[in-house]
Amino acid sequence: MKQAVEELRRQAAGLLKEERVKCVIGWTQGTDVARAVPFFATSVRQAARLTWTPFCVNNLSKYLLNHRYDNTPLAVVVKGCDSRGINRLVQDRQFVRERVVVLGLPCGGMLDREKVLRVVDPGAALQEVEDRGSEYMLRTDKGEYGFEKREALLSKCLECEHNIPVVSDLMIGPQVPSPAGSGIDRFAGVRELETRDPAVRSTFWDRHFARCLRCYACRNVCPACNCKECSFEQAVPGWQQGACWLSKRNHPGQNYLFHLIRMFHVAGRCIDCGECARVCPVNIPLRELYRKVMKDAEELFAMKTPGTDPEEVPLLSTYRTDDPEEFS
Amino acid sequence: MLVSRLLEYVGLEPGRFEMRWISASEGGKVAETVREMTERIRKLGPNRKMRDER
Amino acid sequence: MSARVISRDRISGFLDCILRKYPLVAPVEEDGVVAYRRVAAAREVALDAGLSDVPPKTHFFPQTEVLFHYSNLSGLEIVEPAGAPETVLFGVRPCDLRGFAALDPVFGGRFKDVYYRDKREKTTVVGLSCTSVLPTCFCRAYGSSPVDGTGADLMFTRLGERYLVEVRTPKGARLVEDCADFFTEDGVREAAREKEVLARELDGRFVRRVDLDSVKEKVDGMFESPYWGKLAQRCLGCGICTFLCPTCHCFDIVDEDRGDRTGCRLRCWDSCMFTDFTLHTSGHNPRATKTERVRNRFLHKLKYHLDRYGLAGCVGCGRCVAKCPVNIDITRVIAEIKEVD
Repeated sequence: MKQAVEELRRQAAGLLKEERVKCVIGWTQGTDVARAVPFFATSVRQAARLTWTPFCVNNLSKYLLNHRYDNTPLAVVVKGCDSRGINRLVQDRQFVRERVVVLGLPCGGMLDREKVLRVVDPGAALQEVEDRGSEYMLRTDKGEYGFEKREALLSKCLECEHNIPVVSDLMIGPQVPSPAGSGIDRFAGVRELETRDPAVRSTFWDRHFARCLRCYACRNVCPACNCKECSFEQAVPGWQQGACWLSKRNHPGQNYLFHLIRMFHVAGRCIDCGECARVCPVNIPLRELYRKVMKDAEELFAMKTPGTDPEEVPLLSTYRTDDPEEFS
Repeated sequence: MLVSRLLEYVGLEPGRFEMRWISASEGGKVAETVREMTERIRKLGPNRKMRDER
Repeated sequence: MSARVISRDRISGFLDCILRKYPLVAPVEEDGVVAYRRVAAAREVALDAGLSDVPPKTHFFPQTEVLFHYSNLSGLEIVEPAGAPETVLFGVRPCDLRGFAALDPVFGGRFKDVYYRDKREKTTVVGLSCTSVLPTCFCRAYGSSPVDGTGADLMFTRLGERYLVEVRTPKGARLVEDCADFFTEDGVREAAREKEVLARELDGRFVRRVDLDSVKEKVDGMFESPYWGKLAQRCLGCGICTFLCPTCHCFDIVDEDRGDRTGCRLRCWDSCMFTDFTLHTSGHNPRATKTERVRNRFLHKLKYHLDRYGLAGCVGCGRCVAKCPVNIDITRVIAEIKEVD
């Protein structure tokens, strides 16, 4: 990945130097070996700190919203899955496409940090990463480590749909093969849950939602959650509203409602970047929730993963006269 | 269609949620549908899943 | 301070003994997440789970707490919840014990919070020494250690197949008396020596070297620093760091009316990271952007709590370091603060 890192830094430095953009949103090395952190380069010197490793898991498209109401010209670095977020924000009229230079990175998959830290000392310094197709080689100051992709990638990467960004102004680095396993069923997790007994499925979600802390990390990281104000922020207290329809209290039933409301708000718009499930501090399998609608919409309405096509209209904002229906 | 599938997926009993297409001129059908549905839901008992308990 | 020894295979008997007399709150593991909950049997307790994901502050300061129910159908009637029963909170790690110490003056200072105080007074806290040090741990920087029992009524330390049990308060002594059959005084001195060995060994395992020297003096003058703006750029404004923090204690009071002149008043955790945290009725928000909110969190941890109570607002548990989705790492912040001009 050395070549891509160098090219990324060179291109970012160029954009900043020529003042085509004020800021390049990318990643830099985080505070341990298996972590990259969102980074906002505003000078040529800072551009040299940009990096590209199999730990650049954060979807940076969300950060465009930091500049939603100003005119700062920006560049943003995206992986394939993240690039669908660019289309999402543009389609949702949150951002003008011309204002952003999209730097696309062909991606060989992201490593599961937990699995890496079982082997590598977190305090080690990451020096170089080599993508060898079926495995990653990590070179650190404390030794070299190989990771089979099949074993150590995030599950979302083994189900990867677009490892090459679907939208970009500049493609950085060499093309790499998709990390998706051959013949993988992208919706296997959803299908497995569907086959379970309804009562089992019911307790499964009860258990997970009861644990929810309502920290709203899933919402805040989500590029489809781009409303200026959110219906869960209730500045008006309950006694002024009469009976309010979603309580601020943490309660299994209310948490259920929270997740279902959010679910419907992103239905047909969720780009399946998997960030919600990654950030959840209490391991709620949110991706299996959002992908249920994605799977049904694909089967019923031949919906493509939202964000794939810059021209598409979100599924629930459109209709065709030959849409299937179940009204009796 | 998406809604009913999702609600069953997260564990709501089938039959608790239903959508019907009824014209404004079909008053009898509205009444009949509501009656049917109320009876069915009463048999299912209270919705414990999204209970409020204020 | 007296001490006892209990063999490892008798721990669940001891926990069941507690359960016959008191409600027991202990670490429980569910889908890979460890949190403190009321348990019904010793086998539910995750004894060796290490540092919990959600801190045990949930016991004294639950995420949602009903303050009272009201009804205004025939004259105003207010029903307050019954007081807390005598309870045992088992398996609290040293950093979380410090967390309680940081919360105590907030809820028991000038304003006595009956809800917190009631549970605090009626709970016997059983501490549990750590037997490993996570890469994110830095309790050492705050003068604590993985075996520090300060704040516990009883302190358990696992030493192979037995535990050293230090009795630190009369409450702790009572619990030992209640379940006296499970403990022995044989081998206490030897176990105490082993604990010292363990303490030294664990002390060498800290990955993060955090030096707080001169940080307080530095942040005293940093309110207007552009550093906060840079740090805040990547913040998502979620509540993970504050909700998982053993010392964060902000709450919001909500009245929930059923719409029929009855309802309840409750309080629930709030987070200074949320956009509506200090939103005024007028529409003005003194912490209008992420910059002010991130600054508030770090100044609270590194300055305000010290100014107000003479206690650190951070205990070095490392939960926010481990769980922040965008790697805002307080140990890095501490290091960077020193470099700021």
